Amino acid sequence: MKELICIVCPRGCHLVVGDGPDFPVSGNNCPRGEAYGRSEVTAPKRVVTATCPADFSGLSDTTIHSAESSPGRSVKQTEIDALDLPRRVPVRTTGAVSRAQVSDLVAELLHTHIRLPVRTGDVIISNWHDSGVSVIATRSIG
Amino acid sequence: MKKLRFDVVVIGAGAAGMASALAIVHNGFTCVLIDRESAMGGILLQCIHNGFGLHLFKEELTGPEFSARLEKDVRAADIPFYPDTTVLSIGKHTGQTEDRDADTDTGFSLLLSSARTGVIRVDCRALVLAMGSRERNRGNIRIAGDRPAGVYTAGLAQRLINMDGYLPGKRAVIIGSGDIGLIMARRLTLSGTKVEAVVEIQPFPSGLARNIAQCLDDFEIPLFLSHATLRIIGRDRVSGVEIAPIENGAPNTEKARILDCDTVLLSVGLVPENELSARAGVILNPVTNGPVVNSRLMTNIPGIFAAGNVLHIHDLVDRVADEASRAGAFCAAWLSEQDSTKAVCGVPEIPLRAGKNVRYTVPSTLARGAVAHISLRSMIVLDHGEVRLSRMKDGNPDGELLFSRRISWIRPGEMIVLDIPPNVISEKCNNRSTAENGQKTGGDESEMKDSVLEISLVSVSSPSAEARTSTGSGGHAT
Repeated sequence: MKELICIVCPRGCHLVVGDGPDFPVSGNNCPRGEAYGRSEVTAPKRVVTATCPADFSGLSDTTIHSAESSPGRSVKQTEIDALDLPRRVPVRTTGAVSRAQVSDLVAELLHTHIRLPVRTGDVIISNWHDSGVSVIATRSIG
Repeated sequence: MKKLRFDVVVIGAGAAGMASALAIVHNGFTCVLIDRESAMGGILLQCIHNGFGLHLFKEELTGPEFSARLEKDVRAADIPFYPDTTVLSIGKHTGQTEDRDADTDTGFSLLLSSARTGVIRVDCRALVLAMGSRERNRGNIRIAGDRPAGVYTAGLAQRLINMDGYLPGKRAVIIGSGDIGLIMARRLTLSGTKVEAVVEIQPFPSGLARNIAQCLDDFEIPLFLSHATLRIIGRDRVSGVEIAPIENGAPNTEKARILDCDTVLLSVGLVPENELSARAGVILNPVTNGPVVNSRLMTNIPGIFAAGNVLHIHDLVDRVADEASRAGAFCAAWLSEQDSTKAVCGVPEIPLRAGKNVRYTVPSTLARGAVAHISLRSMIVLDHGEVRLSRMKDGNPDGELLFSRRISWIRPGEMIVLDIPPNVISEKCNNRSTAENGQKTGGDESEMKDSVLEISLVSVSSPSAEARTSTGSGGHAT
């Protein structure tokens, strides 16, 4: 028997999960809690959120400074600064990945440069390590 | 100077500002959104973790995704947005100024400033305050010691990591167990910073239980409850913090020890940001640090409404958006009333105060005959409790119970939101037709005039007590 706090929603139900093979769940207030309790004692999984470095080199001159740009000019760092764009692109997994793999995935994401512009929902990594889970951007930037 | 005119100005374009602007426009009035940042979304944009939107959108979103949903609706409704803009002042039309427009003798005049537009004047008939909050810092909690580099509020560290791309340090101690601190414990760990511990002075965590589970337990980060931070150590850069357990109400310095670290994050609460409100003459509640509002979320100044963290600190952004939608709708209803010939404003409401075990309630007054939507915070931890709305009068310490509801898992860190049906207060008060006819038909009305409503929380010991309560025996207080 194992006691858990459900992390499915902010309510934070106190779950009690019995022993296998059935792993009966009690203390949950919804079906998602039951599913979470069972998966947590058998194969714990997490949705992962992280950020990736933004690559500004793909932004066109017009995006950078529409009022003052002249075509063909290379983008200067000061102009990127003036845009006040975030330096990191927030991302998340489309589903839960094995808890044991979370740190590997995050380590990879921390060095995955995302070329701007990016739109919410753009796929950053498709089917990561054949897990069936992809990584998508969660904010439109540029 | 450029001049603009809208029915309503919404100050702050975070979750509260966007949600109230949408409600105002959907009810047929014009409004403008103003924010000092360059994008809509407020703090949601740096909250890259998921868990937002379960109530409002029925799915689990990250902060930027939640924000984008609201922003999409704001864009679709063509609500003008002034980014990078600061509100310099809120002035009230007196009806006597020379340059006032002929069609308004009441309303407000705001001065805005931004690098792009210079100073602009906006005239409006109503305002929604949606400026959010800021973090309590080291000065607020009086931590002794040196003043080295490496001390951050948790939200600042969150912005540095998630938006600006800087890691604040290599080994961190987090002081305070608020949700932002817990979220940051996980974020720092995933970003390569070792989190030595989270130190909480109270005997219970102030953040949500789920965040203890998924942010600390998942990464085996120790949580020291009932531990005081005695001092921050370090000359140029933080080198450690000294902590000691609280025993018999005071830190036991004999058991003090030093946690080595180069970074300290403070997650010790939020304060509504009301400098602008106070200067405009809005009365603030000393407990919430937010405006005192009536059941329609209107402040003491007719036409100024407030919603979200500027009103009181919320636990969930879904509740911020819900409250702000209501504030926007109340604002629109108030404008309609001003337009109609028979204005019904000015109907006095009944004072509502925080009773036993309740830290505060929002609003501070309730209207007769309307659904009452009350937010409150507990001062105590209760596994099984009952929230009670009573009518107090003439020194009767218990008052007359009007409404009660059983609630499990009451924690000071979690808001309690109550919807009270319209008949609860109207039945016990004078009936409406009597009030409108201006006839005092006796006891009931004068009784209500002298009375005060009070919300209290009591412990109920077991599920069997629940049965007794529901049969009207008054519950089993312990």
